[in-house]
Amino acid sequence: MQFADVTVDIETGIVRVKRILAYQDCGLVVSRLTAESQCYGGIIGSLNFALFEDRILDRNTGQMVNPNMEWYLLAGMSDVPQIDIRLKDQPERGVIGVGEPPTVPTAAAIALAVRNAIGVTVRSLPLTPAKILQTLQQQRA
Amino acid sequence: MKAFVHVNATTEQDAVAALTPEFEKAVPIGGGQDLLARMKDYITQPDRVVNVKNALDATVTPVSGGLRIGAAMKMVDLAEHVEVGKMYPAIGAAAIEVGTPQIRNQATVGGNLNQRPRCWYFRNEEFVCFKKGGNACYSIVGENQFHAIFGEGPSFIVHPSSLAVPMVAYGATFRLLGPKGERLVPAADYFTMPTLQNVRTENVLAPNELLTHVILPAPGTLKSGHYEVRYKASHDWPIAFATVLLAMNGTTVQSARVVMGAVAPVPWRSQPAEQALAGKTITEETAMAAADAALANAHPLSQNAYKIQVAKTAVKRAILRAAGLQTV
Repeated sequence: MQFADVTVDIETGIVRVKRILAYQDCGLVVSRLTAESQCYGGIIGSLNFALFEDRILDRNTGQMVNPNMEWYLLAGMSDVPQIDIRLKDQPERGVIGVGEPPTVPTAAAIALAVRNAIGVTVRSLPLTPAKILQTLQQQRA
Repeated sequence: MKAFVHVNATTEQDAVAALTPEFEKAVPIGGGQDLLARMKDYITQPDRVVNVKNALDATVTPVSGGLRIGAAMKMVDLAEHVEVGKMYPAIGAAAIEVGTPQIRNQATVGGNLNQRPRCWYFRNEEFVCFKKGGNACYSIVGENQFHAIFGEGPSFIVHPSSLAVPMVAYGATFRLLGPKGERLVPAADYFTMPTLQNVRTENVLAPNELLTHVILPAPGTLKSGHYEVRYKASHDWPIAFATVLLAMNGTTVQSARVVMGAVAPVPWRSQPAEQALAGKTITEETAMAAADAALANAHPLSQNAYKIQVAKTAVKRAILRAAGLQTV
């Protein structure tokens, strides 16, 4: 279960994530440090999925036009929000691991927070300024 | 990367002598932040690379009330230069937003102003576009979300330099040195629009010339504002940005200068916006009216209409910043 706190600049379509709160079930917490680390990584990965990562193909040739770190965007240090993790320690369930699950809810939490902020739903990821502005414009029309 | 000869020039004259009149046969290298990437991607394949870092001036000198900036000055030094920041705040603001600290530690003023377009078709070996000697701009019917909304081709690149925009706004003059000596070119005339006859270059610099200095006139009491809209907080190319200068007469604008970046193949000055500001007191409404005027003649491609809204916001916020009304 995750919560996202975002700001949306409705004049530019830019989304900034301020904070992510993750409540993670992982059975018995064997190593708190590595379990939390796994959550950080998963959340940042999914933040990229929500806001930045976009494989852009030229519509006429199928060539990828952004096969580089310049145009295939990934969050930098200043795009990564405050991340708070609460591990639900359940020793009675034994060791079940944490793996990929922290990645799953982040993008949805961010997208829903954006919907909550601007009152319209953007139906595809990433939440680019172009899509945000277009969605806002359609809503006004 | 194709093999090349490396020349380490130690004077301006030596550097110019090592260049050739043929396009991209011999190329100058400063910080290499643009050139090396182009060479690795087979976009530019020179026979000779001329290191100009030790040949060109890297300092700032006062000159008749203004400043003269050496082309070999690093972006980090420009961004942190006290006099530059005090006299030309928009230049300091533009410099500090370029790339990342690592890039600013390498990149030079001359390299920033002369870097080639960042268009993803130009930078892809597979697409032989106008800029590479071909006869098409692939962005028109392709992926053009970051391309020009002004200028109407034939190439729809946006000028990549963040410094070029405040330089044009402040009325800078560029000193160019060639085999026949020096010439001075105003920044506004330095950058050239693509035409079918002259589409491969973005400025008037001849292949055997070097940009050695940027000369800034005395700033007077101009108020300035600079605003960049970037998707990522750092290390990203702006979607659109603007520099605004205001000459005030009390609380009203006597005259204004509005120049936009990342919207056209050159820094795009908007006289309609300047006229809309003249004689007005700056408020949210007058700033918005000027921003509307600035974008009134924009012609977007299939996927970049959103840039009109983004550029409007950049102009509006730069005006408000210049008037001291917006600090974020």
